[in-house]
Amino acid sequence: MQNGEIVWLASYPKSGNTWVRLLLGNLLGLKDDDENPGDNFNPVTGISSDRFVFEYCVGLNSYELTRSEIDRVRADVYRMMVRDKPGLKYIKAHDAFGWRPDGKALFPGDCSRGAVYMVRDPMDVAVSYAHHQGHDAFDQTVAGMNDTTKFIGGGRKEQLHQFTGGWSRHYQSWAEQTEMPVCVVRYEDLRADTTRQLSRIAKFIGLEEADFAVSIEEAVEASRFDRLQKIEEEKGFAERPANSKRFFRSGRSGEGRETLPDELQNQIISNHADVMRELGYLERETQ
Amino acid sequence: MTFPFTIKTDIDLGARSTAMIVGRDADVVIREGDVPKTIDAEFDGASFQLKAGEFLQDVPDGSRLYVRGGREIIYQRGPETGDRDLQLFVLGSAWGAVCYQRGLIPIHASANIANGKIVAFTGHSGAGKSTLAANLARRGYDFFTDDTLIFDPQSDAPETLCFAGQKQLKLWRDAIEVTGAEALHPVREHAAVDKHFAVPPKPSDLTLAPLTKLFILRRTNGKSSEPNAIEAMTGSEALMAIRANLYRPHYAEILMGRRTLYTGLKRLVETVEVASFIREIGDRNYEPAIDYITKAIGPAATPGA
Repeated sequence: MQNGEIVWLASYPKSGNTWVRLLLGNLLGLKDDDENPGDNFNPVTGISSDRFVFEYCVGLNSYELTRSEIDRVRADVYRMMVRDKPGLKYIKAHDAFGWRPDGKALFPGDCSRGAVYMVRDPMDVAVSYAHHQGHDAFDQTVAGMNDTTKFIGGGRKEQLHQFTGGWSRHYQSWAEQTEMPVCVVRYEDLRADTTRQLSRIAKFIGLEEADFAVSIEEAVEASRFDRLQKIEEEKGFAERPANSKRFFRSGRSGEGRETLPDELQNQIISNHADVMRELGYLERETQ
Repeated sequence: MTFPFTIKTDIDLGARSTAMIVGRDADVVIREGDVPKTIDAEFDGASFQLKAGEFLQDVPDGSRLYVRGGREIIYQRGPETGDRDLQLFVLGSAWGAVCYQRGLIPIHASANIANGKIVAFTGHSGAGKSTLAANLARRGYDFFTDDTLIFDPQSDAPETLCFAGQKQLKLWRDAIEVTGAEALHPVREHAAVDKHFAVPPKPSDLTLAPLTKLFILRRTNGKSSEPNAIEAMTGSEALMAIRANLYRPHYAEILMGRRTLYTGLKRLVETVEVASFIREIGDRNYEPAIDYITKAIGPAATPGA
């Protein structure tokens, strides 16, 4: 573990990142300090692609900069976040781990404590991502997951551009980088034994019981999926996209294999077999 | 009454600024020159530095800007910095810094004229200020300024008089088409940035007018039942909301001084109606939001006037 103060909560979209943020928020009693008072939950906030933070740190309108200009200063933005407000901070990142043309990391090790990398069966990601975007055109989401040149955000969008690349490369970029330690958490394991996985995450970050606002068990109970669904239904959730009916929709594992047509399942497997096998998502096929 | 300072510049700043360009005895000189590597900063940003009387900006295209004493903007080009890039950054961050150093308060706002007075819209980058101003121009409200609305707290005028910061809009290509604005040229040399300078159908000739209404643009958070709402603000809530929406708000206290800043903001709050305009973002509420705000603003001109 490193001494930096940023814990990156990294993942391909729709892989359980928000759930981990809620678990940590509940465990540590962290309040949303975003100026937007919309959140009714306590997910630990902060995202690598936050334009407001970027502009505060850089002093320029991010919509008027090119991708490469933004990438040139991003590492300094994260360093400034640490300098400006000392203390451990949790920042979500949907970017693949990346390097600038001069060989320096976009996510600098010198201000980072480590990365918790959430990963989920790509079949389920495809279904969840489509619903998140308010459609059921699964072929589009699968095409995106197979696209090794894919960006999300950027342009006129609310978030800065994030290079996601393909699903496999995204995982490998974080798992294989050497800037900081990484703790890989499978969504399926988190669902099967949330207490155990949250304990593992807390230990990885270097948290001790004295840091906890509640016990691990209480944090898990407060972050139960059906409870989150109920709160969203009653009060809304600020991170729900305008086109999406609900953020906490199903959360179920195995939905992709039931829902996706064979052709799309085969496309996912042919593009991502190695990483799927490494993570245990192709066990059945290989047995 | 003219813009509060005159400029002498060795680069063409186009027709965006309303500051008068003079050949000699200018209040502010803009010139190419040596920019210090660093200053003994009170506030060290990721790519800028601040201290009383000085501002240093490293632009990630390699160009650098140094603003001193409210009297000089010195620039140094990066290897690929073109004139458009330089104009944009000089009239952006450096301009904001020079305003603060000269005791002026630049509000991050776009504005139109209704009944001879300014109605302004502030909010973070991407909140929709420019597009709303362009749409209101399409509905008959003369366009007044984009990006910055400049208040002179030292003025002894009874009304809150504000200057136009920029007389051209910065719009995305599709917003230009929707609003009927006339496209001029891209804001950057690099084609990857799809924003363009544009002039809306009804630009106002005014460069100074009284500010009456200031709306802070916010988006609904997903739990609101109404797509549009206006919530009035007064007192310290209004003051802090304006402060948060100044142009580069964290520059203000250091470059201008805390006392001068808050005295000016207090005066603004006492004379201007401040409210949040909270709206649902998306195609469904695009025109309804404009309908809603026009009702709140009132007619563009007094009937028979």
